[in-house]
Amino acid sequence: MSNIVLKIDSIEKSFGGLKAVRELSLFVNKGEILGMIGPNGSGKTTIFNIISGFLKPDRGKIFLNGTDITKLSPHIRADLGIGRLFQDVRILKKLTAIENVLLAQKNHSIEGPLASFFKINRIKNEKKKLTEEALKWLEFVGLKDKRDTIAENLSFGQQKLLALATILFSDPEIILLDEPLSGLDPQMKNKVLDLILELKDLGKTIIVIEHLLDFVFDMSDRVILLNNGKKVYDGSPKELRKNHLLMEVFTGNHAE
Amino acid sequence: MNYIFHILTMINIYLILSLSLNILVGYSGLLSICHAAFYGIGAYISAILMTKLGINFFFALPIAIMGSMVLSLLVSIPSVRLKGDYFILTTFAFQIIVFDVLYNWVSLTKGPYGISGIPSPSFLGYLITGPVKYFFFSLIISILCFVFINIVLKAPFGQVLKAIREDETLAHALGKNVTKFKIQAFAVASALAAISGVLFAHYVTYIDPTSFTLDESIFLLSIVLIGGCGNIKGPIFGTFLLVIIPEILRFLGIPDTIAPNIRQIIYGLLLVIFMYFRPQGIAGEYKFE
Repeated sequence: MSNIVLKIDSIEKSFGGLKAVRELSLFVNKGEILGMIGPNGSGKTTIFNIISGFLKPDRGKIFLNGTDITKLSPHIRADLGIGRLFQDVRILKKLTAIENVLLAQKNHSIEGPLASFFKINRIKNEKKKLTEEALKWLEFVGLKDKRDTIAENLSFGQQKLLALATILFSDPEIILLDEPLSGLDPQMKNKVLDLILELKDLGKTIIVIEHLLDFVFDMSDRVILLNNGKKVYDGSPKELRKNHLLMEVFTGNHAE
Repeated sequence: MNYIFHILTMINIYLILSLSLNILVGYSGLLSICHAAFYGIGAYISAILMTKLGINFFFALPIAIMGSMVLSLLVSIPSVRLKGDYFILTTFAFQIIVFDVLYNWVSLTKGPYGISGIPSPSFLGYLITGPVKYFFFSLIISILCFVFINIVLKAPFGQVLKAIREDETLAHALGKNVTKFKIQAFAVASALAAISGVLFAHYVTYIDPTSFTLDESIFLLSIVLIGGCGNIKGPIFGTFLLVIIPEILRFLGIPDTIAPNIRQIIYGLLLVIFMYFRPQGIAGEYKFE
């Protein structure tokens, strides 16, 4: 029994003539934090879109815990355990914090239009259970006292934390974090970094895209460096720091 | 006195229409201009069943509801994949097709002549007829629909619809089957529109296709947008306002020949003014952009 959670097998993706992802393969082990770095336009977010199902690869396969998920739509992948934090913070601005978190619940039988008529008791019990769980995650990110605040009244950093809590609540197999630190003040950056490390201690599996290399090197067990849609490095962050590749790629001097 | 009860009955009918349209426009963010088509489908199914086959009202009603729900798939399946203006065009096409079918399928619908002599509903031998009795009957039905809509929208279902309205990508990423929810929202809204249609047909006892035109769909949309959408009270305000305004015009002594035109001008002006100064309507919480 292997402990690979996510495996990507030589995927390719082009937009018109532009090859955004080329022959890319990677895997993530259970409980590992994989950092994904690369200059703008190197295909990082495209890979997240392919993993979460918003883009279909032209070629190649994606496996989650050994199951081929290449052809499944995003909502089914979410149910199977892919949780994604978007780069531009996505939350429901008109709903309260707790309502936001609760939306990620996975028991779809209580979401039918007529469910309230036939399953009143089940919904009540379920709601109580889910609310407790949701509060647990709000507390984890430090927003428990904001539970009834309308999301748009939270600060940008708090909105990001709320989005994180929403994903954690759905208890995913793998968490995709797209620039979790961007736009945050230094204090908040450290807080999010601590949270990510805490998640690692809880045994969560995470892929993180981030521009702030020092932070990525601090939090990741392994780092992947991308350039023009191609993987040019896959290994320990310590060695990459010393590697000339890093400088070449980010200054645009890396030969194909 | 009968006149007052007549208006109140029409308000009951329009309340169901506007509250159900609000499920699409206000909660799901789907700007539909074919709601009058489902209103007409309900009215015609029940009128045909009762006049041609002599089926009891309380059997015809569920059949009309089912029929309308099934037909809603014709617009919901293709249109959930189309966004924005293309979606509106799909609902527009459906509205036109339904009107044309009602107008031209003479052997079934009697076309432009309309169906007359639609019997009043009878309940255990008690005939519900005349404005007063019918008012209380329609009141009971509209209260039931109101309670139903309230429960459905307060439930997790309504919450998911709002999520889809605000951010479809996020809803998708959180595991919501967006297509399924849109189809369900359409089915619920058309079922309720069919109920209004049935109530209307058996109240006026004569229907023809001109009651279910594009103009009517736009009128319903005006109710929801002027009253305000995204919550329950908005459409209720809108219904009272827009159903009562034309009745007030009646008392101003405006000649019958120009009254309908003035009414159109007032609706148009109200829509423009509201879209400009108060896009969320009188009491709504959702701004349509």
